Parts: sequence; C-alpha cells; structure tokens
Amino acid sequence: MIEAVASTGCLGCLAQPEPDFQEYFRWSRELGRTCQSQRTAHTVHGMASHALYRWGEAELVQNWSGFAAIAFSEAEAGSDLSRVSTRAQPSEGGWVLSGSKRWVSFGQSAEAFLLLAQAPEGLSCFWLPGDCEGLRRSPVEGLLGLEKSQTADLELSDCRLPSSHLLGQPGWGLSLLGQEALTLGRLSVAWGCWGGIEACLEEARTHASLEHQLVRRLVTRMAVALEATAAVCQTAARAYIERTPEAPVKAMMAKLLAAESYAKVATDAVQLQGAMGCTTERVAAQHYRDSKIMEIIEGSQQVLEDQIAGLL
Amino acid sequence: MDEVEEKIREFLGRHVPPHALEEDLDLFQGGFVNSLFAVQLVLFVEKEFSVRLGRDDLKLENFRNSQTLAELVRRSA
Repeated sequence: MIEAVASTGCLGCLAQPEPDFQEYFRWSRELGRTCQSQRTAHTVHGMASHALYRWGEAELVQNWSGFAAIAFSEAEAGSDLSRVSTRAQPSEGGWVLSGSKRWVSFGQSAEAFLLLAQAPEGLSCFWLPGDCEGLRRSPVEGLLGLEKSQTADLELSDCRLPSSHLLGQPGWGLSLLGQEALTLGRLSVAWGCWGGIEACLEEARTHASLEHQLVRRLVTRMAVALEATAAVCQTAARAYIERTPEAPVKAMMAKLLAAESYAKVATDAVQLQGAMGCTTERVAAQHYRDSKIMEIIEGSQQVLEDQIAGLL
Repeated sequence: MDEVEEKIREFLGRHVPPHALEEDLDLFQGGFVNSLFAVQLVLFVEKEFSVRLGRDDLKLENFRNSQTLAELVRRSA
C-alpha cells in the first residue's frame, strides 16, 4: 500500500526543506477520489514530515528517509489530547518513553512516528524510529472503512531515544507542534473529502436516471455540496499557505463542512443506485464507509463545533 | 514602545483579556490563551515581521509578553 502511494511521488511534498503545500493538498484530493486509505498514508506522512523538517535537529532530518506516521491518540486521549499519558522521562543523554498509543494509521508499517508524550515540562513531540527496542505493534482489525490503512496500536516499554529525537522544545508538543500537525491533517482530510465527493457525484450521474425529479433533486444537492466543499477547502488552504493566524480555525471549518458534506453525498450516492450502490461494483459503498470515519478523525464534528466557537 | 511591540500588542489584544495586556502578565503561564494561540502567534510573528522561528526560539521566556516577543523578533530579524 505504501509502495503504491510512494510510486505517485506524493510523499515528497512536505519531506523537504521547502514544502510544497499546494501540491500536498492537490494529492489529498486526487487520492481521495480513488482510495481514502492511500490518502490517509499521504496525510499522516505529510503531517509527520513537516514537523520533522520544521522542528527537528539538522542531523536527525538529514539522516531520515522513509515513511512516517502519527502516534497521538490513546485510549483515554482521543478528542482531548491534553490527556495523553505516555511518559517521556529524561535519562542520560536522551529520553525513555513508556505508554501506549491507539488508532495509529499505518502503524503496522511506518518506519518512524511523530509521537506525543508527557515530559516533565509538559506534552512534547518525539521522533520514534519504528525499529526502536521496546516498541510493539498490534494490528487493529475490523474497521468500518479505511480498511487498508494498516491501523495499529502501539506499546512502548522503555523505548530509549537520543536527545536529538525531541522535536522543538519540551512542553510545546501539543500547543504548537501538535496543533500545527492537526491543522495540516485537517486540511488534507478536507481535500480528501472534496475528491471523494467528486467521485460519488460522477458515479451517481453515470448510473442514476436523471429523468426522475427525485433523482435530479439529490444530484443537485450533491453538486451544491461539491461547490461548497471546493470553496471552503480552497479558502482554508490559501490561508494556510499565506500563513495567516486564522489558518488553524479555517482548517477546522473546512474539515467540519467537507467531512459532513462527503458523508451526506456518499449516503445519497448509495441511495440513488439502489441495490447496486450497496455492492463493491460501485465506488459509492466504499465512500459511504470511509466518509463516516472521516467525519470522526482529526476532530469529530462535535469536537470541532465546540472548539471553533471559542476561537471566533 | 516601538512599532514592533505595538503591532504585537495589537495582535495580542484580539486574543487575551485587556488586563493581561495592560499589566504585561505572563500570557502562557497566566493561562490567558486558548489551545490554538501558540500556533496563531507563531504564524502572526513570522508573517508580520518576515522572520522564521527555530527550535531554539521555543522558550517560554520568549513568549511571556509583548516585550519579550518584540525582543525575540528583533533577534530573529
């Protein structure tokens, strides 16, 4: 799966000193049209790579190549990452990490993780190599959608890291590095939803009979959702690329609207195609399952609604 | 107060209570800021003053109030 994504060339967008955000978002949309699991690989690798290049020590950055994923969530810290309890203890010349992470997309195969842990100074971001001694991965099976996202839970037992594997400074892990990564992730997910909506609308127009008034109504609604999603994605991406202080809030808004629109459009795309829409012969069924997950990841509607109101 | 600090104060005025700004209270340790403030502040400082902050700049003493932020900007310029 990662080989397939890598072969497109998209993984390099942000894994470089001069990140190409426009290209990163464009790929999110492109992969979102065809495979949201691939889009997820692209999203998490971009989030992790950007943090590394932005806040990593030069030597760590220079010696790195490979595929990286995000290890933020825990059993008790999903919607509220301030509750992360994985510990990072300073030890001679570095850090010792212990704890567990959940729902790590591509956690089965990633060669490194951008990982959030509690240091004495507060939450901090670390670069955890996939072959670090003490790291154990357990595959998560039976997901509703994004079935090819190689999701895993991680167990860290006294994982030793050199001091250079701390990104930024201790205590800035969630407030700055984590929020930056989430902003990027939300934009990427939103653009992926945009691509998914396009695919659903295309299929619906091909297979549903527009002679029926009820079909025309639904298709019209899908087209309007596409327009609105495209607009909000582009506005938020522009704010991000221009580095305006409103960019994080606009990314939240874009993710909220795009994921909700995607879920509605995918539901209608299945409905319009009747029994055929429920089969693997049509893409609508896959988008239907993926869109539900995309409403939840990178901040569910409820989490975003709650946060945005306080940031206006 | 110079132009840099004035611009910073104008930005901070949109995000923190007036008394925190007037009394130069510690923005982060005083708990006056929301969960996105650090990101927004870094974006503002970098864009407004065309500087690039690095990992060594991430110290709470640099982010204490408008004066320390203005000093950080001047050092980074």
